[in-house]
Amino acid sequence: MRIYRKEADEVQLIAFPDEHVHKGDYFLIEDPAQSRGLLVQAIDLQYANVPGVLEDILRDVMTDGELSGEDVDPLNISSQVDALKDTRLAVCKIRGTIAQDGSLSPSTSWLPSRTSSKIRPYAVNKLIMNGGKMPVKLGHNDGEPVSVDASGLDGGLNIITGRKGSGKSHLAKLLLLSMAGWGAPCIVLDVNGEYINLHKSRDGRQSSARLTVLAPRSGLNFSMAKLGLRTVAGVLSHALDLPATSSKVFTTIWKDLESRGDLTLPTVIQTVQSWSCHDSVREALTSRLQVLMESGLFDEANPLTEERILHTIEGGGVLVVNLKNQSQIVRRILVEIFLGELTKILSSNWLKAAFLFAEEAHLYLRDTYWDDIVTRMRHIGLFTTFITNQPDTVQEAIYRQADNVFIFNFTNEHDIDAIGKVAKADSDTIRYLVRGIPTRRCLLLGNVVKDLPMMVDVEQLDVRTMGETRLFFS
Amino acid sequence: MLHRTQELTEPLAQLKSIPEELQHPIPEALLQLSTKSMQSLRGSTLNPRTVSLVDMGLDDGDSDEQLEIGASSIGMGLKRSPINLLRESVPIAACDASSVKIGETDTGMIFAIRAVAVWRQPDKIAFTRWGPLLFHIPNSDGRQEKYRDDESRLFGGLSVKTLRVLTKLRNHVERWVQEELAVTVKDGIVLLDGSLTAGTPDNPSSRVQRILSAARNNNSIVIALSKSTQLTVGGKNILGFFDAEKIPHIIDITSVVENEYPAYPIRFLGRVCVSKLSPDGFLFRTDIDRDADEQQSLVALGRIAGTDVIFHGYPETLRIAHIFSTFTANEILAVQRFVASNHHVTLQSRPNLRRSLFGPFGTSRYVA
Repeated sequence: MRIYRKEADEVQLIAFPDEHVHKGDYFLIEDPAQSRGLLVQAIDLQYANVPGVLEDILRDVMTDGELSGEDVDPLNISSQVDALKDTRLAVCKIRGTIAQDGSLSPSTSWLPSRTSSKIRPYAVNKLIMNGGKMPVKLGHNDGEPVSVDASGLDGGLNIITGRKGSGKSHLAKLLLLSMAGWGAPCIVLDVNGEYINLHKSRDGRQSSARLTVLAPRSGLNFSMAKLGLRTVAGVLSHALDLPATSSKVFTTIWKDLESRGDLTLPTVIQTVQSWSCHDSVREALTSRLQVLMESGLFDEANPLTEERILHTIEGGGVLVVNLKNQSQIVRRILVEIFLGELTKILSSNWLKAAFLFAEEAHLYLRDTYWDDIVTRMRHIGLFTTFITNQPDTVQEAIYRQADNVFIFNFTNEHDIDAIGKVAKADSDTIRYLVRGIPTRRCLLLGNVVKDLPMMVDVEQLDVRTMGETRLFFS
Repeated sequence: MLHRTQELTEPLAQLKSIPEELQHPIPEALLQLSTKSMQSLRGSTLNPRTVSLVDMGLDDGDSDEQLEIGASSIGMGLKRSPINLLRESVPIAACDASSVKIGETDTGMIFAIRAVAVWRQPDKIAFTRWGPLLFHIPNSDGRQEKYRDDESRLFGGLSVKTLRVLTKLRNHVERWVQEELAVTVKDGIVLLDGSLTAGTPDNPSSRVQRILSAARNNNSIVIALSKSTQLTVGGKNILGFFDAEKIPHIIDITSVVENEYPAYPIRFLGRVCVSKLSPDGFLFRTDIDRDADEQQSLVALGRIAGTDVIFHGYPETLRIAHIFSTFTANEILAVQRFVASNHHVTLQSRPNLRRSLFGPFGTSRYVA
C-alpha cells in the first residue's frame, strides 16, 4: 500500500488487489524517521482512477460479445493490467498517533513520509481492551475476537439502532446478560416480550442468569399509598394528561385521605365523586382514575414494593418489565410508575446504580422524560440504553450526549442523517461504514471503543431470544 | 458494442479456411532477443514515461509512408473503376503491430512491441494478440544519448539511431505476423496496415515478397491500406482530387507513382491505388499485390466492401487489429511495474525541465 494524498483528516491509500482492505479496517502508517505511526481507518473503498482505465474497460467490453480471442502474453503483462484495473483507493480517516511505546494519542498534527513510510494492518482490539478488567465479548472482527470493557458502558447513555432485523435486539441481549454477569442491576422495558426467556438456552436448559419477569396482573401491581403523591400525580399529569386545575384538586383530596389513613384507589374515586368541586374537574379526575382502575396495575393487597424491585436486580439480576399486549396508555402509566420507583430507590442510595434497557422507547416515553433521562436520572445512577429501529424518534440531544452508539445496517438516507448527529464520530464515518453492512455486523462508537470506531460481527447467543420476526412462509 | 454504419443483412456462410484460433507461438529467436536485451538492466534506474488521462491508444513507432506526386502527373487521365459490393463470404484476415516507449534508462530506452491478427468468422470476429515483448535499445556509446532538440522532436523524442532500431524491430514482428496469416489464410484476403513498399535495410523487399508469395500459394490476395493518406499531389493531399465521387471506387495510380520514383532501391511490390470502400467513407491509399489482375483486385475489394467495411469505409478487421495492438496508458503503467518488479529496476522520474521552466506554457510533445 502507498499513501496517495492527504486532505483535512482524510488520507487516501492505494491498495493493490493482493492487499486486503475492508471498510472499517485500521492501518498504521509507520514513518521510521519519526519513530511513530499515523493510525487511520478505511471508511470507503473506491477504484483507483488509473489513467486510461476507461479505454481498457471499453476494449474488454468489445471482446465480451462478438469478439473473442487469445493473448499470447509470454511476460504475463495482462495480469499486471488486470491488477491495475482492480487497484483500489482506500479513503481513510485519521484516528490518532501511535507512539513507539504503542500508546495512542489524538495528535494528528504531523505527516508521515509518502515515500519511506510502511503501511500495515493494525489490530485496534489491543488498544480497546487495554487494561480492562471486565471484558464483554461482543463478537469478532476479521476473525479476531472483540471484547470491550464493561466499565465503558458505566455512567453513560447508550443507543443501539439499526433497521428491522439487523440484529440490534440481539446485541442488547448480549450486553444485558454480560452486564448482569458482572453484577450490574439491569431493568428491561420489553415491548414485545422478547426478553422473558433470556434465562433459557435454545434447547431449553436453564442458564445461570437471574431473571425476573413482571407484567400487569402478574406481579406488577402497585399500591396508591406506597407510590406516593408525587408518582401518582405524575402519572395523572404526564401519562393521562390531567389538566393543572384538576391536578390541584387531586392533591387536596390525596392529602385529606392520607390524613385519614384511607388511601386506596377505590376510596380516591369515591371521594372525588362526592367532593365539592366543579363538575368538569370531577369528570376529568373520575375518568382518569377509572383508567387506572381498569389497567389492573393497582392491587392494595399485594403491591410491588421498592424492596422487592431492589431484591430482584441487586447483585446482577435482570428485571424484565413485560409490556407485551398492553395498550399504549397502560405502557405509559407503567413506565411512569416504574421510573418513579426507580428514582426513589436510587435517590435513597439503596442501590448504587442501575442499567435500564428501553426497547422502542418512543412508544411509551413522554417527551419531557428524554431530557430527564440524560440529565437528572444519569446523575442519580440510572444509565439508559435506547434500542430503536426508528432513529428519527430519538431526540437530537440524545444523539449528541450519547456516550456509546451501536449502529447496525441502514440504507435509508433519512435514517443515516438522523444518526449522523452522533457527537462521537464524524458523519462521513457513519455514512460510509453503516451503509451496506450485513446483518449482525455493527459499528461501535464511543467510550467502549476508546473513540476508535470499530466494526464487529456480533456474537451468537445461546438463549431463547424470541426477537426474530415471525414468518408465514417458513 | 461496435458502431455500425452499414448493416450486414445476409448471414455469412461458414468459413473453413481459418482455424478457430491462430496458435502460433512467438518465435524463439524473438523471445531470446527480448530477454537478452533486458538482462543487463538489473539494478539500474528507469525514468518511466509519464502517461496521462488524455493519452489513448499510444503507438510511438507508427509512421505512414509519404508519397509526393507532381501536380502535372494527375492530369494523365487516370481510370476510375467502380467497386461492386459482394456479399460472398471469404476469409478476411488483418494484422497490425504497435510499439511504445516505456521509459528511459541510463544507457538507452525500453520499448514494448505488440502484434495482433484479426479474422472474421461467420458469427464473430476472432483475434490473437502476441506480446507485448520488451526490448531495451541501448544508446550507441552506452551513455545518455545527446541529440539536438529539433531532431529529437522530429522523431517523437527518439534519436535517429533509436528510431531505426525500433522500426526494424517493429517491422520484424509485424512481418512475422503477416507471414503467419499469409501461410494460414486460404482462398481469402489478407489485409495489412500500411503499404507494400519495401527495399530499405529496415524493411527488406525479400521479406514482403515471401509474404506475397505465401498468399498466392494459398490462392489469397494481399491488400495493404494506409490509415492516413500521405499521398500528396503538388504538396496537396490527394483526397482533394478524387473525393468528389460518392460511390465505392478505385483509381490505380501505379503508373504515376512509378514515373515519379526510381525503381531502385525502393520497390513498389503492389499496385498503388486510391480507393473508397463505402459511400460515406474516406479515401485510402490501397496497395494490391501486383500478381492479382484488375478483375481479381476489384472482386477482392468488392468482398471487403460487402462484408467487412463498417466504419468510415475502413475494414473492420483492420480497425480492430489497430485498436488491439495499440497500448493504453494503463498498459504502459503495467509494463513499467513489470519491469520494476521482474528486472529489479528502480523507477525514478527525472524532473521535466521544460515543465519546470515554462509551467503550462512549455510546448508539449505533440508540437513538432
